[in-house]
Amino acid sequence: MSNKRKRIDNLLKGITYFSASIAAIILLFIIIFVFKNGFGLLNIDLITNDYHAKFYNGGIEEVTEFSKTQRPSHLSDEDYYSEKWGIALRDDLDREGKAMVIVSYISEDSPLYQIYDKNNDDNDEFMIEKGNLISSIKFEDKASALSVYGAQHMIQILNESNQFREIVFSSLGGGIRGSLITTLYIIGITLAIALPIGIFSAIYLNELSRKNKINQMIRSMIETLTGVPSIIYGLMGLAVFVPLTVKYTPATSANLISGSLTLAVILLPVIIKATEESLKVVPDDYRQASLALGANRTQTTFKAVLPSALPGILTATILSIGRIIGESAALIFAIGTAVKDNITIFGRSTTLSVHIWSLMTDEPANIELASTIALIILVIVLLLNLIVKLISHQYLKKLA
Amino acid sequence: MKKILLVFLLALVLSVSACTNDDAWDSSKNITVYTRDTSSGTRAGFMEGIDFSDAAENDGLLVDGFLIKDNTGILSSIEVDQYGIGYISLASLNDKVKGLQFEGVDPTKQNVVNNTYGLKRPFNYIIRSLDDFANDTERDITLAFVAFLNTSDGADIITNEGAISLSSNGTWDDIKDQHPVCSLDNSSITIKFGGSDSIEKIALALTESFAPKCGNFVPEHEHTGSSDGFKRTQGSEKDGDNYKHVGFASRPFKDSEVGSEGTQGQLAWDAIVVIVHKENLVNNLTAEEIKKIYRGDFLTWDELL
Repeated sequence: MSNKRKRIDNLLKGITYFSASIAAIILLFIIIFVFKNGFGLLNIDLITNDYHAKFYNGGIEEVTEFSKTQRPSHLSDEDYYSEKWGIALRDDLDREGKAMVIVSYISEDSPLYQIYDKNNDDNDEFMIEKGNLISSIKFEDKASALSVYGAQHMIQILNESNQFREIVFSSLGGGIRGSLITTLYIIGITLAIALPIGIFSAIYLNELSRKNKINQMIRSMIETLTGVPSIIYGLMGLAVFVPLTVKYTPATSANLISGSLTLAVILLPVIIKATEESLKVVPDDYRQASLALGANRTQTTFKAVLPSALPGILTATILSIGRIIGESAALIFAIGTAVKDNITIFGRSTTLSVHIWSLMTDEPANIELASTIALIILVIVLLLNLIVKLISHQYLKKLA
Repeated sequence: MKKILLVFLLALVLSVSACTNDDAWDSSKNITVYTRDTSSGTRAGFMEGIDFSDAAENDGLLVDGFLIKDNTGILSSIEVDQYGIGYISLASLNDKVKGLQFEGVDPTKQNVVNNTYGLKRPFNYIIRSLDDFANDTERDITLAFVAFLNTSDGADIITNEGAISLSSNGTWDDIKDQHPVCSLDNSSITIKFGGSDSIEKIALALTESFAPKCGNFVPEHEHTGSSDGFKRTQGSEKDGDNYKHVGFASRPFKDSEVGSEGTQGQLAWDAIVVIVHKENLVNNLTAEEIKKIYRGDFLTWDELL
């Protein structure tokens, strides 16, 4: 081999190494970025909690006896304790990165156990618990103690007071349970609509159709659809599917079904093309053997060809699930951006990726929480991939 | 395998070294001007504040080569761009950038409340016309919410969220008897809030806190920008799929956005802060100087020192 030839070979090989490592580095950077920003907020509460905090307004009668509990020894330096009211508060940051004051301890003889629910007279089980956030304590005669000024300030004001008008406390909001459930609903409904239509169209195009002008036109139209930006599908969803669902379902505005229908249209080309590819690789011998044994064309397609193409179809399904989870532009129009906790398929809500969008358009944007959700999306996609791999593996074993 | 690792390492080193920048601040460098896009309420408030209102919706009047970024984009760009200048809302200001004095006054809440800091914008609300609600309950809850905005309880929430509340009169306890709708069970009623996304967090905190006081109605938030505040309550989209009961605008309502009587008002002030890189030597700018930077009369930092 001549030297020149060697040099050229090495150069070409070097280019492949270089391109592969650039791709790997970029992907690695994205994952590192998401992990670095998002891992701190990742916990089970985030996934199971509601997005909207639940607020309570506590009132209090004349306090006759104050707490006598000394500062408990297990409290750290960050806890500010009021002996008078028997409560310890601590500064923390909530999921939006905003200052909050959290109850870290409440003694058994605390006068705060005497508060009543101002919004519901019949609520007997009303009380402040460890882990609640205190957003403000309001007085008749002086300015309120607000969480934005910190726990120390709040305890100081409490120590100076014998009575308050109202204490406002809440659960920790900012959870993504609602968006997660919406995402799962959307995946289910979209696949239920798009998979049958997509797979049967692909079978028609690849197995049953004749090579003529009309079928060629259908093919090229499907190909064109792949290149249309998803926001245009979103506009179509808003213009066609939202009024349609409002007319024929109990929905009154954009809803999960209109969103799923929109996504189903986006997915059709993906599913059709991937299914067709997997049908194409099924050897023609299968078909001929089946036909030779006396099966007709339809029987051959559904009994002999389709089972062999199943792993490919499953791959198409994963691809489309990934697309459903990742899609945001179309859904902003087709189901809206309202983050909800009570999910119904006829109501508005958001998927995880639109939730990221709405976090990023806030002022200031919440990059940490957005990264955490991105991380969760990565994990879901990974799990789905593994599940489908497992299924197709089992299936292939059965076939063999 | 070794080769792959070597190339991998090389690329890593190259990309890391491209990120660092240790040069000292050089005032002879050109100013990079950052701005929000024309639909932003922050931009409208800022241009108004520096007496350059014509540029609120006209990019053509700005200096050549200006950059359009959103709020987060401006903040993170100024963090690394030593010669950049941009503007953000006071609530977004952090210690990674330098917030400049405006006409010699520090950008603090106190200075906005005592009316010495000039660069500020109003946070406004608008509700549907009173005869345009689907039913009386929705109207009464909306009116109760507006009344709540003017109480000290509403003001506390606004302060907690980083905006500057207006002077309040009375508490919700004082006026709740005037809103009998709030003593009913409203948990089947959805009230829709929209408009400015700068006000989204404040609006969310207000409704989350107000809902239990008013029969647990369901607040639904969908914030898409100031111009949708009027459009979706009394404007062209008021009967569309995106209609809202309450809209917000983070700028004064325009002449084309006058609603029916008694349906509009202000809930808070927000200050806008001009920000530059931490190493920038400039501490104070006047409205005139900022206007000249954005118009392109001043091109380098030298001219301002």
